[in-house]
Amino acid sequence: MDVEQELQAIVGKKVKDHLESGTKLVDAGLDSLDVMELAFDIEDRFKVQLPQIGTELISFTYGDLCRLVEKQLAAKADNALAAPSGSIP
Amino acid sequence: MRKVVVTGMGCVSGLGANKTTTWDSLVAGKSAICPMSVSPEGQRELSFTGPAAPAVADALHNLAARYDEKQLNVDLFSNFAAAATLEALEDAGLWRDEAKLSDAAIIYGSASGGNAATEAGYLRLFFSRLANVHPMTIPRLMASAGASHLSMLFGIRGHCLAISSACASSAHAIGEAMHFIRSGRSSIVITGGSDASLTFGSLQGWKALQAMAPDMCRPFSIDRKGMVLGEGAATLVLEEEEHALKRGAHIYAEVAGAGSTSDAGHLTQPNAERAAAAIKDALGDAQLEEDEPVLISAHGTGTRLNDRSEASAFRLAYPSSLSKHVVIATKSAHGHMLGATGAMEFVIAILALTKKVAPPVLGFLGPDPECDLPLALEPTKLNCHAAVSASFAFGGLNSVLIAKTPNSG
Repeated sequence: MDVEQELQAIVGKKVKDHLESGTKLVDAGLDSLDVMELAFDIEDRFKVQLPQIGTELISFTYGDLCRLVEKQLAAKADNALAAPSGSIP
Repeated sequence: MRKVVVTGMGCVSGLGANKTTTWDSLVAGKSAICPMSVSPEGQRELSFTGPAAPAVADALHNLAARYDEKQLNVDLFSNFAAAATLEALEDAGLWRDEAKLSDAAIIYGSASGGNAATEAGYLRLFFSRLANVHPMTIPRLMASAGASHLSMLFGIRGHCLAISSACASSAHAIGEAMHFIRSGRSSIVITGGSDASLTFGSLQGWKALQAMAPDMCRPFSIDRKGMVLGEGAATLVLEEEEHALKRGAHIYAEVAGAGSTSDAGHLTQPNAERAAAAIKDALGDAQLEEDEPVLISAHGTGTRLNDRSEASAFRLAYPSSLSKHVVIATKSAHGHMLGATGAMEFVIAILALTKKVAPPVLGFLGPDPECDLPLALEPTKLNCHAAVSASFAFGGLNSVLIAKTPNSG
């Protein structure tokens, strides 16, 4: 399952319909608490931190959210490369 | 004085997902107590092993059929409350009656609040060493979450509060609901209590008190070894009598009196004199003579100390008439439901009055001379018009409720 599919599965717990890339989370019927829970589930699943707080995320489109998660995953991978575990100092 | 009557009841527990199955299990002598093993999520090396009375698997079935997942995204104790309340509202003919529920009040008990939400948060912080907890942790765990859930789910917009007084929480809630209607502040109050405490931390906490039985809850029996935890909820719709009659509601019983005292003594050791004072207080409030035969629903936890003290309290409250009454102790069947237990036992007492049968005390091994009570050890025919339901909680918080059959004076 790729990132987008996993995100759809997480978002699917809150929104029954398949979300299009341009659909705003607020227009999909999510409120601020829903978005906070969504962010929590995403952080838990992908082991990344989302810099935006819930009130900002609510104005995101689904496409924005996908790009944000991919960006955070890429940053996490870069950090891991820069400081590989078990490296000799 | 405005009379207060019961026009709807509902309950969920290990005995059943509604009051019909609950009653059938009770009179059949079935106990929900079974061996359980409970571990925190992802930590098999830790476990509680012992008896408990978990709610039946279909406890939330009716609720989930009527409300969507998002509406039920709360701690289990709140959904137990909702399941019992749904049954009670349907029973009273008030479910989805927007106008009547909009003016109604909620006074609802819980001893523990959201145990699962609390423990999930701590598990993340202290075991998984994660820096964040679920954003709904606090809204799910607060003791008033159940009352708020009922308000939101059923559109009840009047006075709404939670009462937390340990194992007397829902008994106190019902007493306060009765006074709320008597004083004219509302014509309908949704009341009762719920708890969902069969979680690892909670069970270990109770075990640490050394109050837990290794097998079975045996109230007032010789060789009793302690209590067994249960879970669930019970809800009653209380209504001002004229209001109920005007809309043609079925009346199960009158909530005729309530009495409450506190021991001002010890957190866990009960005081028989103060418990007896609560019984007398309730009898006075209900204008019930002590020699009038009644059904007594005892708190009956099955611990050595509590049962002995409670038996002593009944002897003090009924110095010359105790043998005229019939005593039941249904924690032997549904376990100790903590903040729900007072309401559960009051519902059962009203069902017993209605059906004129006392459900049996289970697990009885033989009489204890210190607990010499007229126990119903098998389904017993009742010929009385009132029930006295006693709750004596940790912290010395005593609450006694009295129900009378309709039109019995």
